[in-house]
Amino acid sequence: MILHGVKNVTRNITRSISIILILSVSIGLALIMLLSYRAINEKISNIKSSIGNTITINPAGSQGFEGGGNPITETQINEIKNLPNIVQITETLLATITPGSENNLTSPIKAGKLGKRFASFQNQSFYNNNPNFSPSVPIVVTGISNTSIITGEGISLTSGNLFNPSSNDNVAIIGKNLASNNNLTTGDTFTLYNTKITVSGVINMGTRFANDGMYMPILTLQNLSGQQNDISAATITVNSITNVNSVISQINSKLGSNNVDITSSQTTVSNAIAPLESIKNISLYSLIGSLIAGSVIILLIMIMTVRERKKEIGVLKAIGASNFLITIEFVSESLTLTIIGAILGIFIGILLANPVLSTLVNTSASTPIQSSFQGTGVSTRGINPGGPLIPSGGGGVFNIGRRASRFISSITGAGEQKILSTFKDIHAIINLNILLYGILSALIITMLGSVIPVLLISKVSPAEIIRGE
Amino acid sequence: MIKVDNITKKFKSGDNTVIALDSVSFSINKGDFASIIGKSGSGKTTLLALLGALEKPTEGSIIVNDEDITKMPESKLIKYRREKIGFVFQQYNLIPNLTALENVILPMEFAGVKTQDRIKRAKDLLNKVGIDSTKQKRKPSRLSGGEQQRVSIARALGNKPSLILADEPTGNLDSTTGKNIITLLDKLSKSDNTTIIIVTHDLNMTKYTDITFKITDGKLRLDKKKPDIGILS
Ligand SMILES: Nc1ncnc2c1ncn2[C@@H]1O[C@H](COP(=O)(O)OP(=O)(O)OP(=O)(O)O)[C@@H](O)[C@H]1O
Ligand SMILES: [Mg+2]
Repeated sequence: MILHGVKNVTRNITRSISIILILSVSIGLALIMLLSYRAINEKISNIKSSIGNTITINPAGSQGFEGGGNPITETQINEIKNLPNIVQITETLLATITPGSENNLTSPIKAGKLGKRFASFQNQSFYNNNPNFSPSVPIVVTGISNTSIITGEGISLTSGNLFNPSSNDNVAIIGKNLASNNNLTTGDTFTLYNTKITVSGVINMGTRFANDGMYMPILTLQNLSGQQNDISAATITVNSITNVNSVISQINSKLGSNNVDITSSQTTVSNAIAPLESIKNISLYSLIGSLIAGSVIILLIMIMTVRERKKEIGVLKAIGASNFLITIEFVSESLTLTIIGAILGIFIGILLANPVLSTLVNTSASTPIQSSFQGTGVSTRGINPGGPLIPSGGGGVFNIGRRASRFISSITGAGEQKILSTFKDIHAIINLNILLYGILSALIITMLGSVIPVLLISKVSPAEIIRGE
Repeated sequence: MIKVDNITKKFKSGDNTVIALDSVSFSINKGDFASIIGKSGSGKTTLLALLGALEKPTEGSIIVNDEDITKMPESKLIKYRREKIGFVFQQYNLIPNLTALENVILPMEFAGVKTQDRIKRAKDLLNKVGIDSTKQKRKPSRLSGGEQQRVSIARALGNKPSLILADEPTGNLDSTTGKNIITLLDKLSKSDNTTIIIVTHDLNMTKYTDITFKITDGKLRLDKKKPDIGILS
């Protein structure tokens, strides 16, 4: 019976060829969408698993533009240190130092127009009396409890070695801009808080903001800047993305959500991958859509042939064929059409999967990419000369808070930028599986398309057929 | 032996009921060649459809080889149609895209006869009904009406049925060809002891048959039978 079904394909060659061509397009489209879906899905889970499992704790309020609140303390960190699922806690302390006698360094950043304007805005009378005064820009010093912040992708030591982050040695790794601005290399010394500090290495952090600053063990900075026990921010690495939310709620209940602001990198990541998620959905819907389109074609064609061969079906039943046998004949006829369609569709899929995928990613992802850049705005906020420019001093917690938030946003901003740049690397993987998928789509299409025609076949009454003569 | 006991077949069309067969009873001996005559719409085809288990009667029983086919489940009925019945139609009803040989093979394929065996048997049958090996390879459209009817008789014989049901098998043929077809059926019924029931308009054909029934408005009565054989119930 299967053979009869296969042979029946040749009963109307023109029709069969047109059906095969239509089916090949719909199966080709289904394959393209399937491959795109898989490629995007894999990319999303890669992104999520690579940067999706960190939580950042900031002092409450410091994320806002004006900053504020009290710094986090070592005591608070000790309270949450032993919570389950936490892999690592990276503490950072930020201090801004003003170049001068106790700090014999100058910042690589010039105040520029913005800085001058800001200074005049802050202290009109001082500026009016000293029209040529160019305010010196402070330098950001970051104390770190482990080296994860100054290692990793895109970051490299241009000379020297990492320091021991849990020590209280008077050492620092300085950003390459700061180094060249002050003619410092590994082994040189400079003065910070009236203390001699040794350069243990020069680093290229990849962003200008970070290369203008320096890094030292957190204990050293806490001691030097008189902020014993204080922490500007803590980055917590969780063992798996799925545990991020539970860790957040545990931290909240330990520390109280009014005392700290908790952000997880998942928020950033989900913003960044939102366009990918929507392309993923588009490809899923298109996959389902093209399979349904194929099924509808098979459905209509089969209904047409069942009607045309109604008499034949009745005769076959009268001479002893079961519904099952006749169904097999008709289904194998459509299966032959869809499988030939699938073979052509596989070629279409192989040829077009990657072009279509990259078009999808480029057109759908380009708009959200720009808007999310503005959202975190490394360039607009990172170099903005802030409060410390006020000649009469000031600063304190407010400044540090603001700096801290800027620092965090520069990290997350860079992360987001990194994620977005990897969109270009999405490629559909074409291997022998495509054969399997092609045949699978043919089977799905035939199965979906056959249900109604099979019912029609079983309804044909042989008695009516022989009476209809 | 076929025993039809008091069958009635009613059709509902809209509000009114059509009584196609009205309390029909008769029996035919194994190996008999029977004919049924009657006007158009009298219920001849309906009777054949019931005997061939294509439909069930509204009332009554049909006993073929000691089994009541009106009480069989569908799975057994398929087997019954396949193995016990051979249908021959007025319009031959050969499958158009299969050759004569393939058409004859088809019912044996349904019955699961081995490929070699069914090819051999189909060829034998076609030779027996007078279709030579060149014509066996032709599709129905390239055979004459008489030849197509021979092929369809060969197809009906494939699974060695005990009952052949032929609905106006000579209706589309000229009288000579028709006569040849009837004598062919007669010969088969005698040689294989196969029971044959034909429906016909042509009173001439009834002279070849052992027993003749006449249907008028769904009621059946014995018309005539050869004195030596055949029993009326
Ligand atoms: N499905 C049906 N619904 C309603 N009435 C039907 C149906 N099938 C048959 N009939 C009626 O049953 C009666 C007998 O029909 P049947 O086909 O048996 O006649 P017939 O003797 O074979 O006629 P013909 O010589 O024209 O083939 C007719 O009146 C017909 O209209
Ligand atoms: Mg009729």
